[in-house]
Amino acid sequence: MKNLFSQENQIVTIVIISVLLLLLMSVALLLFFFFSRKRIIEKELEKTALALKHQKDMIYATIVTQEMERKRIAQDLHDDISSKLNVILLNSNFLIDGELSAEEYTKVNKNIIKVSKKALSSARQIAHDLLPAILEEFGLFSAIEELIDDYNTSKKVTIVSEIEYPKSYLGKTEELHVFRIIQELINNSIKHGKATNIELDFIFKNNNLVLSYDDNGMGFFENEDSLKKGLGMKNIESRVELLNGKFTIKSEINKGVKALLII
Amino acid sequence: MMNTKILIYIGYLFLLINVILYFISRRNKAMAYKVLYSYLLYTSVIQAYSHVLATQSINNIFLSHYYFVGQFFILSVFFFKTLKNRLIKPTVYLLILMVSASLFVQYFINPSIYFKFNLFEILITSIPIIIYSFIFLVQRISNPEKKFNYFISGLFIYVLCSTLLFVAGNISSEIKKVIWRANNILYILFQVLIFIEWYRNFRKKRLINLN
Repeated sequence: MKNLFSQENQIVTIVIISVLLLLLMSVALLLFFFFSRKRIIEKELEKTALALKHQKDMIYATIVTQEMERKRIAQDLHDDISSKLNVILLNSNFLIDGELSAEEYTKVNKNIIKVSKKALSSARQIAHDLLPAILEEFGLFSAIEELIDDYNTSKKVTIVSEIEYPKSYLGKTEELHVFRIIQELINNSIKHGKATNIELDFIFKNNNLVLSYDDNGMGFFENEDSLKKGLGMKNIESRVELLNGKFTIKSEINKGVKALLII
Repeated sequence: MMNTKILIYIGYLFLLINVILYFISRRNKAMAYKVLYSYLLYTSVIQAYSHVLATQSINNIFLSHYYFVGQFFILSVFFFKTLKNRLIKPTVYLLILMVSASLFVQYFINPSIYFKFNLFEILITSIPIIIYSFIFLVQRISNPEKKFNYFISGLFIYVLCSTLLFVAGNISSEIKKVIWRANNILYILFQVLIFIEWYRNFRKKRLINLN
């Protein structure tokens, strides 16, 4: 009888202890769950905050570039167009009030025509610099060719290129983005890298459009220099995102800049 | 003796408080909340009925079947609604089917066990709940959603430990008292967690229906 009891007691003890252990284990498990949850959620919040900041930076870059462009346009309009129109106005007034001789009359007339032509060509040039008409009408291939020709004739830099672009492969907006990226890269190479030779390839490879860019300028490293360069890169980044593409850029001092864009 | 009675009554009290609170906040709540509420309601009905029978000294063991099976069904619906995985829905269906079938067969073969504690029934209705709760908690690790965390934590602990208690409960009458007291304590803890759940997540009216 006693034996039975003590055996029973043992069993009771065992059961109680195992339940307590189970309780302990499950509480520990829950605590583990909730602590790791906290950590994971904190990490995700950090990631989101970082992504947000990046977006903000890009928007800021876009706005600043926009304002700079506007300033430049205003300047160009003022310097090239306004002043020339002023001259034309003065000359025209002169024609009316000037009491000129026939010879002087013709001279002023010729002047007006000359300055008008200049103003017209400046206006065309400004418009073309802003948005080449060729891009709209003849597509990306021709626009890039023309851009390269312009630079080559200006002797500022020599661009060697191999372009293989199926007509209208990208949409009009996307073509514009690619064009702007190329413009920006070339501008950077000339202004900051002081490059004299650029190699630009735009080919179709493995079902992707690959733009590879290589110049012989001074190159740069991340922390250097003006806001402008940072801005330009950010704008390129925004455009790359809009294109759903991948962009890498490498540069070493005095070894130039290499960039790769895959769409 | 008195001690046990007090514990039991405290358990009833907390259950009742929770039923009332969840009833009060039932407006504008998603389906999962309503399932939780019906679970509480169902449990309190069974508790009340079993208490009534106990005071009249009538054998109320058969109510345990309704308790375990009902709990299994209602909570299966709850997890059906809250677990996020395309494998869950067919699994829940499958389990409900298997559990019902096996219990049906068991009672068909041996109807007399209706008036006794059924160990097999306890196990096959509780173990799925433990597994579902575990999956729920795992899914909540990377999810900032707070609803039902306390409830499921309590459910997990309670069903895990009480299942062990019930399974060990039939060994002898000495054990029975200890087991039932332990069960009462755990049950009170469970109800406290359900209260905390209500207090933290469901007290205020929800303005946006996100669930």
